[in-house]
Amino acid sequence: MNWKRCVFLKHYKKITVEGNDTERLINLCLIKKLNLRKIRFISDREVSFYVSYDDYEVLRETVGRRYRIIDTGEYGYRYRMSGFLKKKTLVAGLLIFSLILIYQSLFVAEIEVLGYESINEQALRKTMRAAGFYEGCRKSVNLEKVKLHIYDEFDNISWIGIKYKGNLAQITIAETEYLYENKRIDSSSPCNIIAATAGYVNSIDPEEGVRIAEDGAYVKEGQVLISGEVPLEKTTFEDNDKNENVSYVHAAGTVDAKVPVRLNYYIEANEKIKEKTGKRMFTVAINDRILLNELCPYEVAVVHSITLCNWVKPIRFKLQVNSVEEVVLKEEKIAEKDVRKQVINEIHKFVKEKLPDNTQILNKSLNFRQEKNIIYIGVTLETLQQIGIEEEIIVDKSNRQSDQNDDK
Amino acid sequence: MSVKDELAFDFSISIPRIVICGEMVVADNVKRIVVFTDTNVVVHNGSCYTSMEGKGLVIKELGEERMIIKGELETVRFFETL
Repeated sequence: MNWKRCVFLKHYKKITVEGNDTERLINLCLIKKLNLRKIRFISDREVSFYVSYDDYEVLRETVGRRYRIIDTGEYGYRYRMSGFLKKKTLVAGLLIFSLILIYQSLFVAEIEVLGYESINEQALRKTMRAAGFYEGCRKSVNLEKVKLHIYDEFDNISWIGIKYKGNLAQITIAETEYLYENKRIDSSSPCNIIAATAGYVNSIDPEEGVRIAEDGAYVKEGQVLISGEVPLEKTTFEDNDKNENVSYVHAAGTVDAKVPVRLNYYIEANEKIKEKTGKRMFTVAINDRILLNELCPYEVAVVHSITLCNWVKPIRFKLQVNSVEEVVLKEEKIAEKDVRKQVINEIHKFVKEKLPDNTQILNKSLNFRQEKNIIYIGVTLETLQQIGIEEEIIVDKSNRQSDQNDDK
Repeated sequence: MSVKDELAFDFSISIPRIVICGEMVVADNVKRIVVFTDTNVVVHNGSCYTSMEGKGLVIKELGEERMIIKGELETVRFFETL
């Protein structure tokens, strides 16, 4: 498109000219080099055409009183824009709407979690919130940090994917399949009882199958404890007895074992205590940004927030009033009984969350060691656990068939 | 075509040059419009006159001695000046 065409489309008019000898008018326009388009013959005394706005004034002067000019339309992008810009309320409304749309796109409006099976969705959302990822947070949150936080909290997650679809954050998780997970096997299928974890056998009580491991023996993870292969001796007298017959059963029974568990904890030797000075001030935070935060005179302070409103839709708006109290930090040596109490609480939490149900703690020993400001606590637990789980026996049917044929 | 004819064809300013493609006609070296109706357009090229007859003829563009006509063209005739 050449420059003349661009200038024409900026603003042009459609006019009808009435008068005698319309060819003369067109020739005058040709001489004056006026840009005319779509010259249409209407009658002997009338023609219509399009002329650019700049040439229109020249045309009027050229025409004088010999011809009558009738304006039938006005076009062009500049003409349309000027008409649009005159409607100030419409322009202001469109501008505000665009700003709201852009502002809204900066925040996460909804979080969808997919792929979880054994993990509680509420616990997952709580973990994400602790990492700074929640409905209403900014999209500029470091997603890698959120993923690492989730991996730290949940051991049985093997993969996490976070994807944005507009303002929707879609989180897909894949849970780990444990190798020796206690899957229930159909009671008609043959299986062995194997050790889910390494330990020292305390007692084996087989209900079905042949006991393999002895009391007091150390067994490794995956080792067969009660076998589902029961040997059968032939009762007939034959000279060519080659193999004993083997019968496959669904092994069952309970296996208790002493499993040692070793844990390590670290606690600071000096406890930090916050002592209030009595000075207080109030601040306002909008969308988690504290206004005039640099004017706060306190070096160390404790902040209590009250959320007045927390909207995510249609627009992200969170208003909080913060009470800022000045505190002074002091250090006090932590008492040994407090350290012991903390460690025992952690041990109970660990047993409840990580170890199987019905686990008993037979013995525990705590070993304290202090280096500089850190107290290292080594914990050794002697636990009594049921470690037997079922593992299916895959039988080669072709060999079984040939044995059957030999019997016939 | 000889060199002389080619040069005359490319650089002539007073002989008519008509290019017809479908319903579009491009006429160069148009000095003046003599007759303009929806069935007949006659132009002066300097040395002769060109008449284009047809139906629904509309001058789509006119400027710089070039005219673009749109419509159903039937006849093109050339007349020399006396």
